[in-house]
This record gives sequence, structure tokens and C-alpha cells, in this order.
Amino acid sequence: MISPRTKRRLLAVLLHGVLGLWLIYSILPPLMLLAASFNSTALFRSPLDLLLFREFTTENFSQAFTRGAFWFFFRNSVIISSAAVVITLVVCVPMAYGLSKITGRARSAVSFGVLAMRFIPYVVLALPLFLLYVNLGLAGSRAGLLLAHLAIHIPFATWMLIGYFDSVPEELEQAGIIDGCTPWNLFWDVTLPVVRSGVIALAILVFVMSWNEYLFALFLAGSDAQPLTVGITRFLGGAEAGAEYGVIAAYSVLVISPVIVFALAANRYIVSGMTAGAVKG
Amino acid sequence: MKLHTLRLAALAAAAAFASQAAAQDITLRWALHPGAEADAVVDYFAPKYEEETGIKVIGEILPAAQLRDQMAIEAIGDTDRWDMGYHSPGWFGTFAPHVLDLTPLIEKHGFDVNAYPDLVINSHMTSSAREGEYIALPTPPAAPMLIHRADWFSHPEEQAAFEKEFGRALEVPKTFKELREVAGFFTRDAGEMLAGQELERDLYGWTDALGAGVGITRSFIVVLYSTGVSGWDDSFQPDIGHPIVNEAAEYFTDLAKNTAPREAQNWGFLEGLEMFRDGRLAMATMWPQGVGIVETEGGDAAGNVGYSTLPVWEGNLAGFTQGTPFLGGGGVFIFDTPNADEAFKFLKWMLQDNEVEWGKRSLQFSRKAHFQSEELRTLRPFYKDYLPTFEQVLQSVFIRQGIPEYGAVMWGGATDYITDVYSGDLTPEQAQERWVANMTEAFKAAGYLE
Amino acid sequence: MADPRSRFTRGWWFLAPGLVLMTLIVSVPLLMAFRYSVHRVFLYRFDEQTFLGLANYLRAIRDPLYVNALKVTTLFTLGCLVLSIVLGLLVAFALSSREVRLRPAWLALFLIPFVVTPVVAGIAWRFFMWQQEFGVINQVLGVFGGPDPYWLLERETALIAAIVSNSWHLTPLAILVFYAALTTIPDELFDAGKTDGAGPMQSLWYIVLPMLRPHMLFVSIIVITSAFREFDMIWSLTGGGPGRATTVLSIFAYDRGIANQDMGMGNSIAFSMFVIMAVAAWIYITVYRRVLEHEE
Repeated sequence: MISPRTKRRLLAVLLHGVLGLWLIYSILPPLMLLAASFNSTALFRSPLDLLLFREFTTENFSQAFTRGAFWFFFRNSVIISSAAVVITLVVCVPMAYGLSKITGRARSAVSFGVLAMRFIPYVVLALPLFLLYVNLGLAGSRAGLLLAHLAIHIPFATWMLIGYFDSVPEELEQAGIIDGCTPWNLFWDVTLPVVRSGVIALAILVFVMSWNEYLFALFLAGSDAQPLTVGITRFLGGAEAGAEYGVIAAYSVLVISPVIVFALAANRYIVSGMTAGAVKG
Repeated sequence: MKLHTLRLAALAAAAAFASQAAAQDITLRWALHPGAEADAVVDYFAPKYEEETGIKVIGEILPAAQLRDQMAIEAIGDTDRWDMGYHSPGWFGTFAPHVLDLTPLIEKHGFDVNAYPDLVINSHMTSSAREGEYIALPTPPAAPMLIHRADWFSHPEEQAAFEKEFGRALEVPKTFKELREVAGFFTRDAGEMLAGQELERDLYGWTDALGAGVGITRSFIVVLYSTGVSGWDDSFQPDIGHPIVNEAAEYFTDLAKNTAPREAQNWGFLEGLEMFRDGRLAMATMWPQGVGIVETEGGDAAGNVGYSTLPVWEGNLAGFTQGTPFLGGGGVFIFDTPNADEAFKFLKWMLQDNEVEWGKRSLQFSRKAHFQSEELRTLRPFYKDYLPTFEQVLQSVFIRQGIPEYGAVMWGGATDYITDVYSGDLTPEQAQERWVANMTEAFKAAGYLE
Repeated sequence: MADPRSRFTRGWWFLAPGLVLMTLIVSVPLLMAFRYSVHRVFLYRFDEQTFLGLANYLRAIRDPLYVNALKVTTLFTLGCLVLSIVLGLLVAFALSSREVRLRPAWLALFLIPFVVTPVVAGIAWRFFMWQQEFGVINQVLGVFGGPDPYWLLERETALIAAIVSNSWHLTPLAILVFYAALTTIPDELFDAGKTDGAGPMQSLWYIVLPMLRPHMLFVSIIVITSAFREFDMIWSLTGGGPGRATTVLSIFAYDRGIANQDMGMGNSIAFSMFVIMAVAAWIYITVYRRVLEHEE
């Protein structure tokens, strides 16, 4: 007969084993990129060879920086992602606040609209924008790409933030009104500080979404506006692709490092942001 | 369209002023297809031109698979992003409204059109989309040939084995049917013997780039044109409904599936030639841009590459006596930007004033002087076999039509057709019916057909 | 006159500008998509647009390639849904157990696939996981004497590979939501189950899963919308191939609209996706409200 204690120990070992396996599965693809990026890779090599850095080199990175014009694409990515964060915050924080204040049928209508917009497939925005921008003189521009990003971010951000604002008790503002606060004070000084963590979570998620975005960039960005996600595909295909996967891996590592650092450093916010809205309509 | 004409006039005026402005303010930008010619522009001609004239030339090399779509975004959007663009006769329809007529510039700057063979002029400098104009200058016109491993073909054991199996001598295939047999003969697993040695890895009989989209389309359409089909006749009646099209597709599918490496489905253009270089292929369809790869010094194939024209399609509709690919490769056109005049001066300087240097650096032969230059003909040891074959390839090529619909009805249509036949999603008959219907509809929409 | 500080008026002042902007920024392209979808618009002649009515839609429905893309998209979406919910539940259950140490650290690391750029994830899976000779998957299978298929080059396996790769990216969301929900379930519920003589499996099935219903619905809809419109990951993984085996509607719309320069057709394919998703959204919102009411 196994004692309950041994049983619990066994269970603990089993659970940690399952989680360990899942962890390996989760990080293996990016880990392989990291391994390949530091190996000289004229031919394909086995995963073990790569992971042990049998042919260590940093040549792939210098290739990515020079031939891959990394900083050029990096600049576009940073500009577009930061602008997207700033504009989304400026637009959506007051908007979500307002939405959490109104009541009744208007509230359900607007929140339904916001939620519905989250279902729109990106391609249905990207294709008409391509032609529309030609008429508007925005074709190929960074501004055009940014506008497309906002069409995704604004519904997402508003929807996410309502939950945070809803959780602020109305009594707080009532007290503010008695103290003679203006509507702006109520928003800026009374409520906003309470939802600070939500705003930070939002900023991070919007940045990551913009950073990772590819479809709009492929459809809409002219070669002056292309972000890193397009820059990296310049190495896919093409004459020497077969032998260049080390460079592709190095480029990949450079592209995903910022978001992975974000994910680990700002983990708390991302968790709260991603679960927001899980239990409301 | 009216607005467009106005815009052109304004640009012409602007160009007149611009050319008087300080030369060092001018930067010319060129969208390039990857390859030796693009490297020659970026690494050699652009810096040299800036040194001589103070005019900066920026060559941007775009990936082959993105080049057309990227140029289309900029051209249709009138962004003036590039002053010069990569010209492929098959793509020209997309760019026709945005490209300058070079005729006045050719006269003004004394560019010698007759330096190019007639074939190249027809295919790469003029277009039925813009009758009576010169719309581009050729950089490297190209057409594919068949390469084989001469050392294996002449090996006595291989010859004996082939004769035993097929009852004829092992020779470079003259017909597509023979190509299939020889390719099958050389397709072997690791551990089998080849030319008296045991194979360490699998060996394949033939390959071309068979990647989704552009790869498989380019590869198949070469076979298709060899059957004598041209897409449509003079009255815009599609001829791709002919049964020979389905024969070609079934042949191609069989050849590709049974003799080419599986990885070929990942390849867009020249990747397979690396495998040929490494001694894992007996034959391949090679575009001239790849000759440097297969003859790489120290490679398994170097010095043993045999060159020949593509095999003939027996019973082809046009009476061809050799395989007849389309004349591909490209040229350069000039967008209607204020820098157009300067762009042309640069191109004339590079292509005409430095013609031999251009041939040498781009590793391509496009002008009569290139073929005649003793210096070029002896530049590389393998040119003595390669060049005569390339000249013979150019004897029989298909010149693609310049209508705006070409990209959609012929190239895109062929992509759909061969993709669906190759994958088995549709029967050849179904896919063909679809292609003919789409082509007919597009021609009706364009007003070519009632 | 209403007090500017009244809750309702206050709300509208803050809401209105953003609402107008959002409506503009989203509805203009949507309306244009519909407009282009009922016209003949070729990229090479896009000044000449002819009204066609619903002809593009009829052509699409009759086109075996559209039907194929619809089928592939459905399989892809369902595959991602099942995989990410099942795996998400499994990992969340394991993680929420009191026996596990350092739970926030595990959770943080599990989030990595969710933030990795999908295009890059596609590249990583393509070159290092599914690659036939040296890819991790076949190397591991090889240890057990399994087969070594060309995952991305065979029609049957390419779709499976795409589903697995994309689920890798989506499962962290499921883990996170389920885990957050499970940690709010009071221990007493489990203990109550135990005193009633229920085994761990039974209490899982009868107590925990029903409590997770709204969360499962939430995860489902996020996964469905995301997988239904997926482009990036598949594009860099297979490019839609081999053949059309992984050509989902987003890729097909690109193929027709930009690669084939038939913007009328491209837009009608895209707009049909919007219609499908609008129906899904309507069903979701209705069902979700009902589930929530039921809970209360």
C-alpha cells in the first residue's frame, strides 16, 4: 500500500514532468533559431549539432545586419509600433472610460459594435485599403500602414479596457463630484490612476501586436515603409535560400528578441491583459 | 487617363528643370531582380557612376517572389519610389500605364538599338501594350537549356546498363520522351551504384525549381510552349484547350514526381542547381543565371557539365525542331518620375558605353558585341561549350505577348492549371476547362472578344 | 440642461471622438471592400471599373478553388480549436495543482509562443521542426523507429503541420485563461467532492469542467477568429502549398487580388470571410449572453 505522502510525491513528479515536457515543446522552435543562428550552416545539420554549437560563428549576424539591412527595417518597426501604441492609448483610454460610464441600450449597442469589429478578418481591410490608398496618396506609406494597424488596435484596446474601467466603483467618482472635480479631473485624477496596470498591459500588447504584424505590411507597405516582418522574408526563397538558413535564423532571433524580453519582463501585465474580458460580455 | 496625361506633361516640364539643377542632388533608384547583373549594378556600376558624375544610383535588390507585387504597389500608387524598374515582358501589362516611352530619349542620347539581336528587341524593348514605342532596355534576356553530367553519360558501365534496359545508346535526350527515360534511369537510392561508385545519398535524374507559384509555373510553361501552344491566336481565341496541353501537364507531373527531388517543391528559381553542383543530379533545366552555380570551382560537377538545348516535343503544333522556352530574363524600364532623363543617361552609360564591362560583370550575353567579343568568349573556361548552346537556344524561343492581361490569363492561368493537375485537386480536363473559361472571360471583359 | 458631470453625459463626451474615429477607420475599408467586390477591378486597369452585381460572388462559389479554400479554412480552424482547447486544459490542470512549485514562472515561460512573431514562428517550424531530414520532429520520431514523412511537401501532412504549428502559437492563451479560472475555484469545492466520494476524475468532469464553460467559450471564439483569418504563419510555413493543401481563404484572397491582380475577386473572397465571421460573432454573442445568464 502506497502511503498518501508517497502518492503526493509521485503526483508532484508526474506533474512537473508534464510541465517540463510542455516547456520544451514551447521553447524549442525559438531555441532552434537561436542555436542555428550561432552555427555555420552551409548544409542542414542535426538539431543536436546545432544545440551544441559545434560550428560556432557570429557570421550569420553580421550578414543579417549588412545584407539584411536590419537597422533599416528595425527603424520602421519601431516607428510604426510606437506610434500605434501612443495613438491607441490616446484614443482608446478616454473612449473605454466613456463607454463604461454610459448605460442601458446605448451601452450594449456600442459594446456590441466594438466586439463585432474584433471579428473582422484582416484581409478584408487590407485589400480595399490597397486601392483606397492609391486614391488618397497614401500608397506604400508608413502612415497608411499605421492606419491599418489602428483599425485592428482600437476595437481590441477599447474592448479590453472596458473591463478595467468597469471594475472601478462608481462611488469613487461620486466622492470626486462632491469635492468639485471637473469631468476631466474625474477621468484623469480619480479613475485613471486606478486602472494604470490595465493601461500598461494594453500598451504592451498593442506594441507586440504591431511588432508582429505581417499581412498589412505585405499588402500595403512600400519599400520605404517595410517593417522587420517583411525584411526577414527577403531571405526566404531567392537564389541561395537553401544555404542561408543560418542567416534567416539570426535575423529571426533579432526580430523576436524584443517581444520575448517583453513577455518575460512584463509578464504580470500581459497575463492580466490577456485574461481581461474572459468573464464578461 | 486624362489626369494621367496631364501628370506626364507636368513631369516632363519638371524633368526639364530638374536636369538643369545641381547634379549632385539627384539620386536614381532602381528596383532590381536578384542575380549577377544586380550585383554588378550595386557593387560596380553605381559607385563608378557616382565617382564620374556625382549622381548617386541606389540599386535595391528585391526578392524574386516579391518583386512584381512590390513594384506594382509603388507604380499603381504613383509614389515615385523608383526611377527604374525590372522589366519582364510577362509583367509589363501591370506597369504599362506608368512607364515612359523611351523613343525620344533613345534619339536624344544616341542609344544604338541595333546593338541587340532582333529577337531581343521584339521581346524586351517593345510591347503590344504600347505599340510603336520602345518601352525598356534589355539587361539580361535569358532562356533555359538542359544540362547533364557529361562524365556519367560517357561512363562505360552506365552506357552498358542503359543499352541493356532501353535497347539504345545512352545519349543526351533529344525528345521529351527520352528525357523522361534517361531521368528515370539516373534516379537511384543511396547505396546503389553510379559510374562505378556506391552512392552515399539519393541521386535524382532531373530537376527544375518546382516551388508553389512562380517556380512550378516557370518550369511547366517552358514545356507548354514547346508543344507549340501560344495561349491564344490572332483573333484572341484561346488555344490552350488543345489536348496537347493536357498531355504536357501529365508528362510534366510524371517527370517531376518521379525523377526530381522532393525538395524541389520548395525552390523558386536556381536552388536546385546547388544540388547539381554537389553531384546529386544527372540533369537539370538551367536558366543562364545559374551557370556560375553549376560550374562553381571545387564543386562535384565543375568541368563535367554538358550543355544542350531543351529536347523537342514530338508532334508539337508549331513544327519546332528543338525545345522552345519563352524568352525570359529581363530588362529595365523607366518610370515617369522627374529623374527619367538622368536615369536614361545612366543606363546608356552602363549598357552602351561600358558594354563589354557590363557583359563581363553581369555574366550575361545580351548585345551582339557580347557574342562577338573574344575577351568575353574566353572569360571562363566553360564558355566554349556553354555559349554556342546558349546561342542555339535563342534560335527558337517564344516571345510573350505584351497585353495587360498576360500576367493574369497566361501566367496566372498556367499557375492554377499546373498546380491543380500536379496536386491532383482537379483532373487535367477540369483544370483546362477552367483555364479556357477564365481566359475567354478576361478577353471578353477587355473587349478583344465579343 | 443636463449636468455635464452626470454619469451619462460625461460618458458620451469621452466616448464620442474615439467612436467616430473607430467607425470611420473600420467601416470605410469595409464598405470599399464591398464596393470593389461588386465591380470588375483589375490592378493593371484599375481606373476602369465596371459594375458586375454579384457576379464575382457567383464565380467564387462555382470555383472549385474557392470551395477548396473554404474547406481548408474550416479544417484548419477546427483543428486549431480542438488542439488548443484540449492541450490548454491539460496544461492548465497540471499547472493549477497545489503540488506544483513556482507556478508564475512556469506560466511566464509558457507565454513565449504567444508573443513570438507568427511569420518567424512559421520559419522556425519550417526549417527546424518539420524539415524532413534534420527536423526535430522526424529526429524524435526516428528514435522510436517512426516514419519520416516530408511533412510540408505532402498534401495530407501539410495541413496537419500547419494546424500543429498554429496551435503552438495559440495554446498559451487557452492555458492562461483556464489557469486563471481554475485558481479562482475554491478548494472547498474539491474537498466537498471528495467527501461525497467522488474521485479526482469525477470531480474534474462534474464540478470543474462545467464551471469552465464560459471560459471555454471565450477561448473558443478567440481561437476561431484568429485561426479563421490566419495568414502570416501559414504563409511562411508552406506558402499555401503543396498544391492548395494549405491555401486558406486569406491566402486565396491575396492570391486572386494581388498575385492575379483581380481585385474584384480578391475583395469578394475577403468580404465573404467577413460575412462568415459576422454570423459567427452574432452566434457567439447570443450564446455567450445566455451562458452568462445561466451562470447567474
